Amino acid sequence: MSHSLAYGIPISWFLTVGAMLFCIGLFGMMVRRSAIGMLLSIELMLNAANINLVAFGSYLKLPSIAGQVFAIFVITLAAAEAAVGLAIVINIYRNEQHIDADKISVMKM
Amino acid sequence: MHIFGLFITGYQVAFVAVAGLTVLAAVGVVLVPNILRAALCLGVMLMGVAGLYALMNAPFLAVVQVMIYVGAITTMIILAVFLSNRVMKIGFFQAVYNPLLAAAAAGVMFLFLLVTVANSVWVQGIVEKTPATKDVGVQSVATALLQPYVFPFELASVVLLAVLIGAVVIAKEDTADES
Amino acid sequence: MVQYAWLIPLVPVAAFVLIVAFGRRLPGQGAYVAIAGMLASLVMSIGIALQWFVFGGSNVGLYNHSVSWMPVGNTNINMGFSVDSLTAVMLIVVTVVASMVMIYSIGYMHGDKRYPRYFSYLSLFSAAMLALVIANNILLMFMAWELVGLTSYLLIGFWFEKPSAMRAAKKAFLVTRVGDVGFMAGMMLLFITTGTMNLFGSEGAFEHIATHPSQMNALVHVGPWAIPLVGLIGLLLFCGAVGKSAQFPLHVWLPDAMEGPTPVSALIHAATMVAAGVYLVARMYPVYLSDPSHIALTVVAYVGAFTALFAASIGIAQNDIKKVLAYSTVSQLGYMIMSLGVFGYVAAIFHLMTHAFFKAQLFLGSGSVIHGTGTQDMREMGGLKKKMPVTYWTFLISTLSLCGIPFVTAGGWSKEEILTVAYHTNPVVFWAGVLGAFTTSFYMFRLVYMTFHGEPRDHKIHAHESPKVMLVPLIILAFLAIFAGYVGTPFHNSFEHNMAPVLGEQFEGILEHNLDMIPHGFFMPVFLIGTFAALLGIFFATLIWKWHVIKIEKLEPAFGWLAKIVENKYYIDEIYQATIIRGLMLAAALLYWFDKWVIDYVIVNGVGYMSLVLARAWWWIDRNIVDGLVNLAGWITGTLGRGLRYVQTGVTQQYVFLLVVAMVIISLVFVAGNYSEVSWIPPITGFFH
Repeated sequence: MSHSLAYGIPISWFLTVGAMLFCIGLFGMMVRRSAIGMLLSIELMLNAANINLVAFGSYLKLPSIAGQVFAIFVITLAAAEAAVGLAIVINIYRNEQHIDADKISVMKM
Repeated sequence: MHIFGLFITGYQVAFVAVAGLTVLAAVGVVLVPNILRAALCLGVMLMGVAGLYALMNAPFLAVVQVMIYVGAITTMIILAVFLSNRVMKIGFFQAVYNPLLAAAAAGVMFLFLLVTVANSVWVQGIVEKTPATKDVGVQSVATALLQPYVFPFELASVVLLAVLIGAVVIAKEDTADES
Repeated sequence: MVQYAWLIPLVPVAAFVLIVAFGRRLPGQGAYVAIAGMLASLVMSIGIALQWFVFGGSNVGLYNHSVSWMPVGNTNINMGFSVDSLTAVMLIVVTVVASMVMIYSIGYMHGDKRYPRYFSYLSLFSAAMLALVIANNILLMFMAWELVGLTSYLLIGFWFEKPSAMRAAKKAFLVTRVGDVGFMAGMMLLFITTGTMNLFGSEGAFEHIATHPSQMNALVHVGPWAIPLVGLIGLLLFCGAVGKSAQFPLHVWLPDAMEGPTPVSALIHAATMVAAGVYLVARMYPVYLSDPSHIALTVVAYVGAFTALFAASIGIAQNDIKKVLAYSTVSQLGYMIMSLGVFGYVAAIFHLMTHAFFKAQLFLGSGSVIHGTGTQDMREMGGLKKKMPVTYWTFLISTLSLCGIPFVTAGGWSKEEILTVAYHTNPVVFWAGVLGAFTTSFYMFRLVYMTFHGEPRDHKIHAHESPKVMLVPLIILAFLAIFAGYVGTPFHNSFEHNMAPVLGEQFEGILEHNLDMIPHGFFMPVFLIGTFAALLGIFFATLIWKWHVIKIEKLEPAFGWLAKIVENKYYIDEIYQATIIRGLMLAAALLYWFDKWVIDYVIVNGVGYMSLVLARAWWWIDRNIVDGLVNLAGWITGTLGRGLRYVQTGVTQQYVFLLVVAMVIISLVFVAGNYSEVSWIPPITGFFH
């Protein structure tokens, strides 16, 4: 194959997809009631950021592997965040018998 | 081929297909009331992102995405859904906020980003028209991880260890409280 | 094999650690461990001595090995060990005496409640002493020097329940410290001058001294005197020797140190540690030799000669058996120092060796007497010859050796060598030495007669011979008191043959230049004078205390005042008490007065009062202005908080919404401020370039 897979696709397309995913995640954060649902939305936003990172890493005139490396770190931290978040969810569920984020207002003094 | 006077490559077609699937699945994630189905939608969305990575000439990252995100994280979320099974009964439009308000906020945000992307000077200045083809394999990623980025790499392992312990501590049955 | 010589001090260290860690659970409550360690060192030392003196011949020179220790500025300080003939002799002396003393201590210290601790201290002392003699570096030497001082302190105060022992330990520590200050100053001066702490090798201090004569002989003005630099270094180092070897005027600690256990006196305060001062001067002898004015050596010679005579005269009037021996030790150390001062380098080392053997024997013998009778006062003894025959005969042999009876004893050879050198270099010193020899035999035979001859004077004492474990060391050391001298007879002086090359070629040349008028071999006049003086001393002692021809009572009117002065050790301690200690107390009182009235009352209280006035003023400002500002800030915060309270609902989604709204606003402001030409309708062409 003599040319890139993405032949004829400019970077704007990927950035637009990233922006879409990000805003959908943002919307999800605001409307989802359950804590797990909010976690899912966060994953959406993280992926949006990853797409941007990888896109710039690949499309720069001085291509840098750093984009992919950062994406790997983000995936690592996402895994960590998911693990802790889910542990918290399970703990709350055990104590309160629900995970309705609306009703979890212990943060309110 | 030419459609309406525009030259369309097969890759562009593939991109539109994958990106469309991804965005569709993402909308599913936030809109499907059943949380289990939402989680499955997330899996589909993640697969779509992996396809985008492949199109951007990052095959290793695509594999990582499939293995870790789809294979591990989604599985973990689904497991958590099972563990708190009553969650599934919670409906969607029960947020205290008007979802239209939320949609408006997110939409403004999207429009802003779109304008920025379309207007940006750097799109023409610094980036290439197509992704780079050299040095994107496992070897280059490994070299980058273990040479210039070795410190964050080690730090990430420390974070993972802390998370491992922290998750166990948080999720552990607190016997003292129950008695 | 010599490359493992560093093990010699380390084996006793291991014994020390073991005994400290396990104590009574070890075989022989730790004594056997200490002795085993010491015997191992002894065997290694014998190996080295054989290599240097028997098999090696003259081609065995200096073995010097260093490892890097610590970098100081641009200088790298090394740590290492060196072996030459001097070291070999010292190793033999220390290990032999230490082994004997440890074996002897099994009997002497039997049943003591701190028995393991005693042996741990002995091991530590031996290790430090061996490290002192094997060190090739003056800093390491100084550390070992202080360590032997510490163990000496611990062992003098071993029975610290006795207030006198406690005081004696303190006194020994502080008095030797006075000399150590000099040592330290000399060490620093040497380091500044030569730029190295090492002694040997091409970059060592001795090489530097030999190759930089003009720097070394530059005059330094000290008060009214102008002293060559190298002479000043020598004098400062000699201060350390004066303290450690109990020379006048710092001799006062050694007699008091007899409060410690008697084997300790034999090991530390007779044979080894007090000889460290002599060793120091001998080791640093190139420093003394390279000064053409010989100012330091002259001081050394007169201090030694004076001490030899002075201490011997005190020894006549003492009634405590150990005190007599202590003054005898001071006197004999004076002999060695004196010998070093008149270029009798080899003679001094030779006397150090023989003295170590016979004086250790004498102390152990006196310990045996004390063990058998339970008293140290010679006036309560008498007639012990029959009850303690082994102790008596070995003691007599060592006494003869100390008196310097020629041909049959070791001491005879070494003393004759010292006197021969002194005869040819400094007549004053020579006659002081002869007079000292007379006095020495006089008081030693007084001791022997009062202790072992005549009838028992105190019938409450039931003397008995000591156990075999104490007698065997006595016999071995008595044997050495006779035969150790045969290595250095004037007829075939192999000791000198081995010892002289220690200094290195250049300094050996200077030494020989100063000694070239001395005839080689046997020198009859000195032999006759020395022997006559010793025999005369024995004769007078016999007249007075054996045959009672001269009654002490008859001498009383003529010499009573003199005896009183001598018995009180020339009131040296009292003079120190009246001058130095009183002076310090007076100065302290003066400073106290100054502190109390000037500093405390005027300055401190004044500052306090000023602070009080200022504090009042600040209090008013605080109260009315600062507090008002604080209250204002609190009021503003409180009001704002009351208003914003309604926003905080605890609902996450609401927070996210507010966050997004804020983010959008900030982004729009940012874009509006930075992009002058933003088209708000997205140009679709931008997506296709």
